[in-house]
Amino acid sequence: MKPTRPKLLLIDDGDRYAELLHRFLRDYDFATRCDLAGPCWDCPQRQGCTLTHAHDLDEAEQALRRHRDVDAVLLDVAFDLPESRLAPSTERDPERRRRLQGLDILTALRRRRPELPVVLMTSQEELALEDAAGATDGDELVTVAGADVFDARSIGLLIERVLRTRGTGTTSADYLWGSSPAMARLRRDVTALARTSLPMLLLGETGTGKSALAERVIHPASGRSGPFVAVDVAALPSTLVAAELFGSTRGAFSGAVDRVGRLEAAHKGTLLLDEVGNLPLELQRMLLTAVESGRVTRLGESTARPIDVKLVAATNADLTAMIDAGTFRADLYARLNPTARLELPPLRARIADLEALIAAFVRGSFAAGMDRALLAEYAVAAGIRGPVRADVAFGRPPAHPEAVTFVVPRPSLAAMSTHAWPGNVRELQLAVANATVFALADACEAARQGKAATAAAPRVVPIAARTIKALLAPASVATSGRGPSSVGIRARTSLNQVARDLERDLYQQLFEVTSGDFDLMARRLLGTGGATAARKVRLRFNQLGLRARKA
Amino acid sequence: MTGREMARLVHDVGKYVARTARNLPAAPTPEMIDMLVRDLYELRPGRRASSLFDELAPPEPSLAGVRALLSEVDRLEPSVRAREAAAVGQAAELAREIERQLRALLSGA
Repeated sequence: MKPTRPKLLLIDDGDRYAELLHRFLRDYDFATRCDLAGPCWDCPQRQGCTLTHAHDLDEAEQALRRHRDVDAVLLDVAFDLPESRLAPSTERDPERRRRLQGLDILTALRRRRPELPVVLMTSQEELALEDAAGATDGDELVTVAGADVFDARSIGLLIERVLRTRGTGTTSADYLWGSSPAMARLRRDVTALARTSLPMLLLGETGTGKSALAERVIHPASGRSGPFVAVDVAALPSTLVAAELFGSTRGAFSGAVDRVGRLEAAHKGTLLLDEVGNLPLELQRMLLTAVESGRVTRLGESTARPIDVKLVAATNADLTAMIDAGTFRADLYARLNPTARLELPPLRARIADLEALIAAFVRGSFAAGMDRALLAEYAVAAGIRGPVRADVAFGRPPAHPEAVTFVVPRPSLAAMSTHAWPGNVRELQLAVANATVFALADACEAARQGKAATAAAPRVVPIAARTIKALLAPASVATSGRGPSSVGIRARTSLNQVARDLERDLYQQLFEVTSGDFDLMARRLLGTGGATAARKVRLRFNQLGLRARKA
Repeated sequence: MTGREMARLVHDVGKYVARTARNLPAAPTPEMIDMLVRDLYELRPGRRASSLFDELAPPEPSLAGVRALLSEVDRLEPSVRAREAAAVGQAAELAREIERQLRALLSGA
């Protein structure tokens, strides 16, 4: 769970601006370098304290490691620092480096946290005098504060606007772009195309996050007032696809009822056609007609209805090969705007984002639902008071974590870095969900027996290396013929929901295959049996909303 | 005076001299007045804002108005340190005007 108040990190060589923010902007939390519980204005040691913020790049990176939940950065531009403390720069003149140090810090920040909104505490006039006015062009997450930077009310309003943009714009908080060049290119292109009426074709292996990109980035960035509607073509029986997409009237065919099709349902909004390569040829023609004419005719009707839909198609199939094979229409392919080539890289090609993705999944999975209830249950058992949220650390646990922090051993992270991840980000999300739930179940049990997860720090929950090893082992369970992406049709399907559906399917199938033997299920899922392992699997089984009746 | 010199004056003096002044409520707390005192009379350790301004600003006629305002701020120092409401209000207004004038000069630079 995110804290109720947004958290800001200030990077400024002086302490006066920090004092101002802490005095006048009390609706925010601040990422400090101090181990004491905040807020700073209640602290008896606040006079002359310099731990309130970061004074240079090194301190900023420390603060961001300590506070992974920072929502926005306020960054000064001119830094009066000795050369040894300046961020790396291509600029040779030390004085100019100091005057524009904030831009070098911004460049370094972008490599580690590309999704963070940054407010530059300067004006365009000041930047223009340094020939740096265009330095932030193309980075839609940077805002130049202007002359009102020291006006607490103005800066408060500005931060609110920045945070709102982050929550609903092209950089929705729960879509992690990461730092790979391929994702940076994709982000630039997607951002540009989302605002147009052009169709978008998302390519990429299964599990790379095509649906999430459509729902969390493209639809919000399109600025369209209508709904986001997702259709997984592969999940629909071919006999129903036409009625689902185009709608029907009673009597149009045997059993037909009056129904609004998905194209109509997405009017003024966005329609995601997932696995578009599975669309039968006849329906490809109908779709092409609808896209070209901007009108749709329900089955059994003769009147065409106007539609205004942003079409996003997604596939992991090679559509050009399908055209050659005569199973996909070349004219529809051309209409899907393939020249933009929006290709999501597989996880193995953006492995540098592994830590950031894991962190995002941990925070997200414990923010709501049954996982959140389990976290709350652990907090009670471990005697942790107040609101509780989840975070993750790699290698060494933090000394004084604010959140319940799952600790991933470094060797496990290394193993994850070399894993092939055939299921890509979706597979990683499932692995993280399982690993954290199992670790939490162990910690709950230990806490109930009077032992904290780690005796010194109940907020630290280690993830056993063997758990991750077992999760990375190839699954031996045969899946149904529908394939891993076949999770049915629904509007506003999220990656979280897809992952949960897949996991639920897997548990359900295992339950049937093993005739409800949780010990056997644990051996298949975790590579180990016994009462504890079986209990973990049963716990997760229940969390997924499955009922333990014998198959 | 170069635009760069002007930008530095805005950054090092203008912004900080008006830091508290532009946020001061009608009835400031003693802690806020202490912040104002630091902005006006301890902008750098042991140095008034006027002293820092004199160090950074060339002797140009265009800056005479700002100099005069800073002198007036200095004249009020004992009363502001004594937290006299009228003097605090007047000093805050002067500080805001100093920043405004510096920014106007920067825009024209």
